[in-house]
Amino acid sequence: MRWRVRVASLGVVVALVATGCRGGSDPTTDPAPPAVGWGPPVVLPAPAPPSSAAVAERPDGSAVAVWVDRQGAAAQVMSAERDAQGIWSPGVRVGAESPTPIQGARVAVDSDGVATAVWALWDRPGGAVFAFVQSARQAPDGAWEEVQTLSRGTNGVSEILAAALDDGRFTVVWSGSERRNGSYVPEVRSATRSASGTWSFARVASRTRGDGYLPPGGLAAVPGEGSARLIWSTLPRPPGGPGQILTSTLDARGAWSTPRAIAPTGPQASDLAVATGTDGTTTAAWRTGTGTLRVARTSRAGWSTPRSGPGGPVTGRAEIAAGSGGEALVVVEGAPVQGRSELRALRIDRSGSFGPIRTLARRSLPPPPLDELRGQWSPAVAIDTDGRAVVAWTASRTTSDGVGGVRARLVTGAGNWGPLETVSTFSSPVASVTVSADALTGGEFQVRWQADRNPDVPPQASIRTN
Amino acid sequence: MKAIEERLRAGRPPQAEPPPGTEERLRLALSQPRRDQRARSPEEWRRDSRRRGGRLLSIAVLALIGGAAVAYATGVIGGESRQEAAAVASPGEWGPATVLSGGHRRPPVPRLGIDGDGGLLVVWSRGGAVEAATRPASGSWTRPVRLSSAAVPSGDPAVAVTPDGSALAVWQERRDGRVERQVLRLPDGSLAGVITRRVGGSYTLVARRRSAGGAWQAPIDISEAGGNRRDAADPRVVSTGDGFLVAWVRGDRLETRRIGRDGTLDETLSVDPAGEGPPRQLALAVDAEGEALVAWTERTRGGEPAGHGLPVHSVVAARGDRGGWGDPVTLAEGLVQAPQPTAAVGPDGQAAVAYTATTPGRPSYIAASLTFDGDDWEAPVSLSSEARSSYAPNVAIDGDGRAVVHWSVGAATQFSVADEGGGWSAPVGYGSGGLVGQYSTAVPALVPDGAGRLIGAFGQHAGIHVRDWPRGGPFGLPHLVTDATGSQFGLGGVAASPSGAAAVAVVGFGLKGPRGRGWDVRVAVREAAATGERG
Repeated sequence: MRWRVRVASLGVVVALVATGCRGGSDPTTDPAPPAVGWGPPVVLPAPAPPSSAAVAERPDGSAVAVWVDRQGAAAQVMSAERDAQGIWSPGVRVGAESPTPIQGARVAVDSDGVATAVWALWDRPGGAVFAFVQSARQAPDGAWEEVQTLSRGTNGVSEILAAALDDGRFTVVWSGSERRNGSYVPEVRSATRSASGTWSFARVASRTRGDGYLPPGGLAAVPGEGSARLIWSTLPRPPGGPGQILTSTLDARGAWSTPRAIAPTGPQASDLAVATGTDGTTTAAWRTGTGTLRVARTSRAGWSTPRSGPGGPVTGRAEIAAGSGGEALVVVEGAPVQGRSELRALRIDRSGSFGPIRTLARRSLPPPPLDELRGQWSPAVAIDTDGRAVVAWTASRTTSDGVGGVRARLVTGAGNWGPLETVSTFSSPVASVTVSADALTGGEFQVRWQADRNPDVPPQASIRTN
Repeated sequence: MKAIEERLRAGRPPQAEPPPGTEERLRLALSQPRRDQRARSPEEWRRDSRRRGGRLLSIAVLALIGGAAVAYATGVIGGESRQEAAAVASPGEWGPATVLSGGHRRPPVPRLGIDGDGGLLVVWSRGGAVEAATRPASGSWTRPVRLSSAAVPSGDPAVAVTPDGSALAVWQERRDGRVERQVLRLPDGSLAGVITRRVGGSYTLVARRRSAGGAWQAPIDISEAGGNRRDAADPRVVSTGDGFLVAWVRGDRLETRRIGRDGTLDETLSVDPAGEGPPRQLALAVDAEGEALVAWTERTRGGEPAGHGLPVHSVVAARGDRGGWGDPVTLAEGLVQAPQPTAAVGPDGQAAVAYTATTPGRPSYIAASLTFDGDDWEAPVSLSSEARSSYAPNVAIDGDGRAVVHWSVGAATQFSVADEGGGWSAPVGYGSGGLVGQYSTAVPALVPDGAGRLIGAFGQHAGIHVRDWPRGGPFGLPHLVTDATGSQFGLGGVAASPSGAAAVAVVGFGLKGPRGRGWDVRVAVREAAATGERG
C-alpha cells in the first residue's frame, strides 16, 4: 500500500489516501476540502485505530490512540499518533505479540506529552482464568519502552483505567477478582508510578464494596492538586440489592480515600458514563431502573447533588464530553416510544446549569425483535476549548442491513445548535458501524468511523473546517 | 432455499401456501405433519399402536400354533441366534456407577462403545491424553490405560465397538508444536506469573484398533496433517458390518474413511459441501449393511452486505456407502443458532435427521426430516410445541423402522414418533422432569441396541433415568440409573447391546482424583438378561 500526502489550501487539511482502498462509504481518492464543512472521508493509514480505540490528547493538540489488534488467537497492543491537524500515522506495536488474549487497552499522557499505555493480558491455563495488568511508556523518541507487569494473575480483570497526574505520577486502576483465603473476591486495585519511575501498589476498594465497574473516563487527574479522582459503580455481592456509585481520591502520598457513595442510586442503576474536563470538573451520568437520566458533577468544592435530566426516560449509556471550563455535553438516546427513537443532547454550562433537552434526530425502529438493538445511533461527542461541540452518529435507515451514513450537528459555546450536517453517505447500508469524534486545534472537529469486521469500510475520518 | 421450497411445495395445496421464499412459507410447512396433514394426539398414536400390536399378536399366535415345530427345527426359538434371543430378553437391574477417572479440571466428555455381549469400552480425554477403560460382559473394569502418545497433546476422542468386540478409538493429535513460555515479573523483580502456550505444529487424526479379546494395536494416522485445529476436528466413528467408518472435519470440508476389522484402510473420501460454510456438529449413523448417513451444520454469515451479518446455520445431510457419498441435501436453512443435528438409519434404508430450529424472535423448536429412499428427503416437520424453547434432540430408529425423537423442554423431556408413513405424533411428555443433554453439549441419549430396541436416557437433578423402548414402542417406565451425579447435567451418553446389556456414562463432580477434587467419569452398567429369561 502506498501513501501520498496532499497539502490543501489553508494548510490545515492533509489527506492521506490509500490507493486501492475500497469502502462502502466511498472514501475519496482526491480530496478537495470545502472552505467550511465536512471534508471528504479519508481512509486512515493501516494499521489504523478503530473507533473504539482509547485516545489521549496532548497539550500541543496531538493525540495518541491505543487499541488491541487481534489476529486469530494472537493479540497485540497497537498505538497510532495523530498530529494537531488530525493526520494519523500508521499504527505501531506497543508490546510483543501475545498468543493469549489482551483486553482493555487504555492510554494517558502526562504534561510533557509522554504517553503510557495499559492493558490486561489474559491467560486461561487448564480452565482457570488469569489476567495480568501490564503497562508500557513511550520514550522521548516515541518508541515504546519495555512492558511492565503490574499485577499477579487475578481471576479476570473487568476494566482498566489510567491517568497521568500533574506532579509526574501515573496511576492505573483495575477491577478484578483477587484470591483471598482460597476464594476469589472482587476488589479495585491500583498501581502508581512515581515521577522517578518507582511503582507502588494499593487497594482502592475491598470486597465489601461489591463488584466494581470502571467506566471509560472514570479516572482523571485533578489539576493543580497532584491527585486523581476515581468514580465507578458497584453491584453488591451477593446480588440483589441496589448498586452504588462510588468515588475515591488518590492523594499526594499515594493513598486512596475511603470510597463514598456520591448518591443513592436506587435499584438497577446502570450505564454510568463519566468525563472530566481539563479544569478538573467531572460530569457523571447514569440511568435509573425507571430509565431516568441522573447527572452529578464535581468541582473543587465536591460533588453536586444528582439531578434528573429532562426529557423523559432514556435508554443505553450516555456519551459525555467535558470542556475546559466546566461545560459539558451529555448525549443520550430516548427510550423508544411507538417504534420511534430520539437522539437527545443535554448541554451543561460552565456554572453547572442544565440547558433544555435538545432532540438532535429521530428515526423509526425496525419491527421486533430488532428493536432490542435500540436506535443504533452509535453517538460520539467532542468539545473544544471554546465550548463548541460536535455530536456525530450513524445515519438513519436503521434496518437489519445496516445504516446509511454518518451525520453530525454542532453546538456553539453559547448553546446554539446548527443544522443537521452530512459527514458521509454510504452507497449501500453498512452494518456494525461505530463512530468517534475528536476536537482539533483551530476549532475543527474530526469524526472517525468504521464497520466492524468489514474490510470494505476500514477506519476512516472526515474533518470539519470552519 | 429453492430446494426446500420445492420439497415444501410437494403435497401441499397451492392455494394455501404463502409466497415462495418467505419465512411464513417455511414456518407453515414446518408446523404441519407430513402425509395425512394432521398431527395426531398421543392417545391416537397409542390407539394405532395397539391396533398394530393386536394384529401382530394375532399373527404371532397363529404362527406359534401352526409352526412351532418348524420354528424349533430351524433354531429361531431356543436356537443360538443372539439377536433373536435378545429380542425378547428383559432388561436387568442397573448396578452402581463406577468411577473410572477423577480429578478432571474440566468436565470430561466420555465416549461409550458396547459389543454384542455387553462388553464395554470407554474413552475420554484429560490433560492432553486420551485414556480408555474396558469391561468384559459381566466382568470388572480394567485399570484405565493411555491410548495416545505421552509426547503429543491429544484430545477429542471417539470410539466404536463392533458386535464381536473389535474396537476402534480415534482422536486428534497436535504434533511438532513448540512451547512458548513467558515469565512475567513485577517491577520489584518478583514473579507475577508464567504464561505457557503451545504454538505451531500440525493436527492429525490418529486411530488405534483392538481386535476382539486382543490388545491395542499401534496407532495409525488416518487423516492428512493440517496446520489448523479444524483440519482434523470433530471425529465421529461408527461400527459397520465389516469394520468402522470414521468421519471428520477438514477445514471447510468433510472427510470419511473406512477401516476394516483387520486394520485395512480404504481411501479417504470427501463429502461435497452444500454451501460455503465450514461443516460442524457432525452426526454419523450406519446400518448393518454399511449404508451410512452423515448430517452436519454449515455456518455462514447472513444478511447484507454479504458476509457481514449475523451467522446463520443450515442443516445438511448426505448418504453414502463404500463406493462414495451422494450429493448433500440441505434440510434447513436460515437458523440463527447452531442446530446440533442428530442422525439415525433404519433397517430398511430409512433415515432420519432431527435438529433444533431457531428463527429470530421465536422459541427454538425441534424439527425432523425423514427419507425412505436414498436422498429423497421429506420436508422437515416441526415436532415440538413452539410455546417453549426445546433443545438437545436425539433420534433413533427401531427394528420396525419407527423413528423416535426425544428432546428437552425446560427441565422436562418430550418425544415424538413417526409411523410407517412418516407422520409424526404430537409431542408426548414423560410426566416427569428430565434433560437429554448437557446444555449445548450433544451426547448420545437415545440409541438402538442392535436388536431392534431403543434405550433413552434422561438427566434429572443429580440423577439419571433410562426408559426402554421395545421394538415398536412405546417407552416403558423409567428406571433410576443413579441419583448421585452431583450435577444436573451429568448425563454423558448411553450405549446398548443386543444382549440387553446397557451402560450410561456419567459426568460427576466431587471426587478426588490424582490431581485433587474435580470432575470425574463414571459408568453405570446394566447386565445382559439371564439366559433363562429368554422366551
